[in-house]
Amino acid sequence: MYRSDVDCGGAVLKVKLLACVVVVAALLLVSVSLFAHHGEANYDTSKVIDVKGTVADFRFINPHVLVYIDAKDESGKVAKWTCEATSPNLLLRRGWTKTTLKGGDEITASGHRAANGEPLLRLMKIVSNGKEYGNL
Amino acid sequence: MRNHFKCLKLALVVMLAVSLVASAQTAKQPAPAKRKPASPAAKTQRAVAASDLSGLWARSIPPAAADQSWVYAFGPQELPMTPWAEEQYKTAKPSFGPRSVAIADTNDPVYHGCLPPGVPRVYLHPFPMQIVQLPSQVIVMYEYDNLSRHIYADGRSHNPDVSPTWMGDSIGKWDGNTLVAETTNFNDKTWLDRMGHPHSADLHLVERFRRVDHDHLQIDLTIEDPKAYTKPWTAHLYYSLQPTWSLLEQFCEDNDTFLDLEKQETAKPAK
Repeated sequence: MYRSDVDCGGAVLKVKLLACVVVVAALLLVSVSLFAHHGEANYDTSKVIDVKGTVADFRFINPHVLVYIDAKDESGKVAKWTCEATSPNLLLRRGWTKTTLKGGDEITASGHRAANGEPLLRLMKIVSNGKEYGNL
Repeated sequence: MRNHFKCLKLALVVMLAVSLVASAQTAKQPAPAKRKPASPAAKTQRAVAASDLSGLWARSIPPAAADQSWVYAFGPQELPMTPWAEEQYKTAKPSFGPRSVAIADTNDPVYHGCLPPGVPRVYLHPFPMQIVQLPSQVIVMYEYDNLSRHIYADGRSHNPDVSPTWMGDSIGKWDGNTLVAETTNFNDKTWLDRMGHPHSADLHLVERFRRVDHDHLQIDLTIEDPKAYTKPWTAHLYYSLQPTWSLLEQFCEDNDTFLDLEKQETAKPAK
């Protein structure tokens, strides 16, 4: 049994793993586009809910973009939801503008609801005007 | 002999993989700016600084990031705190990290009164920064709360006449291609990070700014604060050039609506 034979055999797996690690690490070296939102304790992060309705107002402002949605519940009653996203500075660089959403737009918003059950949503995804917006 | 060939083949495959990945990364980035012919003034400037840090820089996810802790803290999770620092840390109620509370309950100075975050905490706010390098100083403009710092590199010493400040007093020297900035005269009203780790007014911060290549900047931060930490420790920040971005306005004071919203989120539900 040659020592070099055993060494190289053992090195095959290690080298393959190293190549995988290098590829993954390189893919991670991209500009930061997501960050942990503070105040996680405010929201029920155990489930993602959908809020479907029409845009009542869209405030493209710092520190948090706000989307107000009139959503009809099962009984047909309108519930007024307030949904928050990240800073407009970050969204602008992902293609948003102050007119991306407008009053009257049909919208489905997905995210985490306020832990106290209020109609407040931390946005994760929006589908509106035939487009899907993530990374909010 | 056959085994050596196997090893060699594997090494070549790995090298090819690495170079393909590296070229995929660099392929996305703009070509380096063409160098203008040197004027006598430019030659003088280059004699002062061998590198230009100027640019609009956005933070990159650190290569060894295992979780989101890099968003709200520096370095390893456990910092070498002194007993004094441990006591301070216990009183902090942050809205980030494993000890986070609802924002209405936080005593984070940034979220009550929009107080300046100080340095190095300002680096943890997820907004880009613009560096403007002049012969005698380097100006760092943070998009977060429109804060800026001047790192004076004209040979001056720290200013002995001013009281402690939020963002400190910075002077710098060039060490080859690296700007070594030293900052002192901090007040003790800020948190070191977004988790609530403390620092004292004796904090001596060293930042080594190095433009690794045209599109990448690295800052090595060393915290020297014997009252708070039993030994100096260093964290690394990585940035990518964003040639199409401009700094935008961002004032913390714009958060009336936000604070009202957060109070609603944490209010007891009506029975």
